[in-house]
Amino acid sequence: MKLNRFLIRYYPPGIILEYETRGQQRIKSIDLLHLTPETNPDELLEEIRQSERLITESRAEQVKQLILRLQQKLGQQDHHRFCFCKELKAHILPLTNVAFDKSGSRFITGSYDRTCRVWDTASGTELHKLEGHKNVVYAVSFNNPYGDKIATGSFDKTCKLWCAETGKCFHTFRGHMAEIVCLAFNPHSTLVATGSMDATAKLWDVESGKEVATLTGHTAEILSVYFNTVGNQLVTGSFDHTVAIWDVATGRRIHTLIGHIKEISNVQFNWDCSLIVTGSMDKTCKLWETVSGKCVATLGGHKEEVLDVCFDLSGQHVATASADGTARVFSATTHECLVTLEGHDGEVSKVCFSPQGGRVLTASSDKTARLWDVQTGVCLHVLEGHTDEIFSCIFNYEGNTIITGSKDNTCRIWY
Amino acid sequence: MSPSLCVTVRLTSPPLVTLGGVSKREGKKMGLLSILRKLKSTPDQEVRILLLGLDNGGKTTLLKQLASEDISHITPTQGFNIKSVQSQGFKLNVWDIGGQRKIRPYWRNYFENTDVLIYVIDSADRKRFEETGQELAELLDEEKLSGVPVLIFANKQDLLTAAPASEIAEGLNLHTIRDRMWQIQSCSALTGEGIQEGMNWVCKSVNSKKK
Repeated sequence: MKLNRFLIRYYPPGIILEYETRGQQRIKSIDLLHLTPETNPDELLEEIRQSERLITESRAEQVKQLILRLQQKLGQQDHHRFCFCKELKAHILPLTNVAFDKSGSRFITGSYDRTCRVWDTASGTELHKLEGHKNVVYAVSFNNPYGDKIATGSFDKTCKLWCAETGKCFHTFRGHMAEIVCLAFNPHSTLVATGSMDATAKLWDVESGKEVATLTGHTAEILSVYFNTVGNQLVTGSFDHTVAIWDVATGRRIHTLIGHIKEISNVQFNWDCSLIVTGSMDKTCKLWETVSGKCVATLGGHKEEVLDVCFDLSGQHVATASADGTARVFSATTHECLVTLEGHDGEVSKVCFSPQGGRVLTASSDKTARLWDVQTGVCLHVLEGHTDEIFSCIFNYEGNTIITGSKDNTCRIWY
Repeated sequence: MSPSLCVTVRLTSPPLVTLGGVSKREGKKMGLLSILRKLKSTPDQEVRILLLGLDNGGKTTLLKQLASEDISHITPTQGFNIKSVQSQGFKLNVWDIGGQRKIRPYWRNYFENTDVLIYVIDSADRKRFEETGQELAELLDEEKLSGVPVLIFANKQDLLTAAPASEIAEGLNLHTIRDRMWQIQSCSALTGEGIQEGMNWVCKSVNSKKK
C-alpha cells in the first residue's frame, strides 16, 4: 500500500487518504466527527497513527497541519448574518424542492410548471431550463460531490437524468406506476434511488439508464429514500408507518423498523451509518440502531405531526420540525431535548442544520424561514419576504448562503 | 380588466346565507408533505374535488367561502390553494387551481384521483362564455376525468347582468353530456347563496359513485 496524497474535508471534519494497493487507486476517510478547536492535536495525531498504518512517521507532520487547519475552520464557525436577499421569479407555478451543488455555485429548483431550472447562485441567472417532464417536478438532486449530473423525479412517474453542464437529458427512467416523490444519488454517483407513491423504491444505473432493482415490501407510498455514507445501504420511509433498510448490492431488505404508529415523514442515516432517524405523523421522532434494526430512543415533546427530521453532519444532534409550529434539537447520544425553537406562526415543514452544525434553518407556512442558534435556541434571523408559504430551504456547503423555495413561484437567495 | 368595478360594488353587499351544512374547518395542514397526503388515492370518507374555471370566475372566493374564511382580499391565483372541509360525513379536499390562460395547460397536473369536478363560470362575463365553454368541453374529453361527476357553478348571480343558469346550460349544451352525472347550480360565492345546494349535490353524487 502506498499513500499518494491527503485531501481535507471540512464538513463533517475529516482527512481523506488517496492510496494505491496492488496497482489500484483507492480512497479512505478518517472521520474526525468529534473534533473541536479545543482538541489536543498531538494526542489526536497519536490516536490516528495507531489505527491507520498508512500514516507513517514521515507523514505525521502533514497530518498535524491538516488537523490544525480543520480546527481553525471549526473555530470560525457560522457567524454569517444573511442580511441580503435576492428574489428570483423562478417559475410560473409553485416551487417544490431545491438543491445545491457541492460548491454552492449552482442550485436547482423543481416546480409545478413541470420544469427544473439550474441557477447561478452568485448572479441569480438561469443557466438551464430542464424541460421534458409531463407533470410536476417534485424531487431534485445534484450528484454531489461531482455536480456534473442532475436527477429529477416527477409526478409523471418518471425520473430523468440530466447533464448539469449542458442541460441535455441523458436518460428517462420509466417503470414506476405512480408519482416519484423522492430520490437520491449514491455517494459514488453510479446509482439513483427513487421512491414512489406506488409503494416501491427502485435503483437505476446512472451510466446505462437501466433499472437495477425494485425494492418491494412497503404497503403504502414511499416518502423518503436516503443512502448511507458508504453507499452500501439505503433506508426508505413509508406512509405504511414503517421504515426499511435495504442492501444496495442485492436489493434485499435487511431490516424493517416497526414502531411508529402513523405515516413516516422523513428518514436519514447519520454520517457514520450507525443510526437512523425517523420522523412521523405520530408526533414522535425515533432513533434506530442500523446493525440490529432496534429502536434506541423515542424523541417526544411535539404536540402535532413531525414533518421533517435530520441529523447534523457530525451526527451529534437531531432536529425535528413539527406541525405544532416549533422545531426541536435533541442530543443524538443522550436523547435529551436540548432546545425548543419557538416563534413561527404556522407549521414548520422543513428543517436542516448548517454544515458547521451551529445553526438550524426552518421553513414554515407562515411565509418565513428562520435561523436559530443550536446552543441557545435563540432565533437569530427571520428571513422575510416570501408572499406564500415556504416549501423548501437549504444551506450551501460553506454555510453562508441559503435558498428558500416557495409556493409564491419564487425562490430567494439569502447571503 | 373591466370586472374590477363590479368587484368594488359587490363587496358592499353583506353575506346573505351562512353555510350551515359545511362545518368544522380542518386545521391548516400544508407543506409539501400534506400535499402528498392529499394526493394519494383517497379512502372512503375522503373526497378529492377539483375546482376549475377561467380566471376571475370566483374559484378562490368560493373555496374561502366554503372554509368560512375572509373573502375581502383575494388576488389572482398563481398556483393553487387547497382546503379541507367536512360535509355530510365526508372530508372534502378541495383543490382550487389558478385559471389564467398561461397556466391552464397545467390543469392536468391535478387530474389524478379526482372524485368530483367543480367548474366555475362568471355568469356576468358574457364575452367569455365561448371561451369557458371550450375549456369545459376539453376537460370533459380528458381521459383521466372520464366519468367524473361535474358540477357547474353559474357564479356571480348577485350581479344584475348575470345570465341565469338555464341560459348558460343551454349555451354550453350541457344536456348533451351522457357519460357522467352533471348538475348546474346558480350561486354567488360572494354571498354564499346556492353554494350549499351545490355541495349537497356533490356529496350525493359521491355517495352514489362510491357505493
